[in-house]
Amino acid sequence: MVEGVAQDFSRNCQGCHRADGLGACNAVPRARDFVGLFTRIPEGREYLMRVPGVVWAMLDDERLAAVLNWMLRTYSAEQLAPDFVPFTAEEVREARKRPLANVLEVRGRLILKMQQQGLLPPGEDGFASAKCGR
Amino acid sequence: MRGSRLLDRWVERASRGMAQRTSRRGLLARLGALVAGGALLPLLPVDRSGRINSARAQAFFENAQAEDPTACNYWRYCAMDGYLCTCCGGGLHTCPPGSDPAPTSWVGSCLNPADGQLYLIAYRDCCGKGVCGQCPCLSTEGEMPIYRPQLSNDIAWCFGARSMVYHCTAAALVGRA
Repeated sequence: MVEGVAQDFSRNCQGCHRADGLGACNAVPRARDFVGLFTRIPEGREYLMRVPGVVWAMLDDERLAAVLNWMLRTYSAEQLAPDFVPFTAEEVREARKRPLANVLEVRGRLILKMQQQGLLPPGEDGFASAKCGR
Repeated sequence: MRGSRLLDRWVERASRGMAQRTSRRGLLARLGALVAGGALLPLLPVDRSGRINSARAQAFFENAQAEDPTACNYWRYCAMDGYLCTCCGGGLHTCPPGSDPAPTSWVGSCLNPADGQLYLIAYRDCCGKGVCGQCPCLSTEGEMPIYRPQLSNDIAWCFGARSMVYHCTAAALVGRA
């Protein structure tokens, strides 16, 4: 049985991000072995709290912060910054008030930065390696 | 240009949905819905003790059965919206020949009358073949217009599939909710 934070994930996020965290090609970015990379660049932390799926999630700030932390640790612990500090309800509350209007543009900039820093191979953007239908 | 592609798909899907099948709502309604605070289904997960607040959700469960998966009141279809794959040559969790399951789904919590337990169900659209048209089962509880996509039904959930053409919807059992 799934309970607590995992249950919040399964009911709010899993449909698209999938239980295996692989997402869907060209539609839903993968979380597995990927999403933690955002904690390695300064703008990444805020980015994660301002993407549409997070902003509009039907969860309160506390549970949402818990889901974010759970996803990072569950799907991408290896990529997590060594000095990663877990998200708090307070910062999530503030960040959610400012949804990213141009999410893909911002994301593109962050991905490029990660590629330039050698965190990601060229061509890997979290969509290219997401799960595709057969 | 994934952004515009995604947008195109949404628009295509929305209009296709509305045009072809007036109200197929295979949305994540369920997805967020489940959890949503106002939709019936959504309340269920929160209300595991059997304190089901929504009259309509309760009505579904009162009429639910565990024998015939080709009927809309089969228990797994509590958050269904679409044509039943079981009526289209597929199964409860398999797509009919010629169509492929999308990697994405929306999720619902349904009460199984056979054992009184709540289960998490993944509703998965089968895509890549013209619309099946058999056994339409539309859940409209808590539905919102398209500008609230997490609670709107008029979106074919074929994200990540090879084709965005919607055929039918399967209801796979994920586990105990």
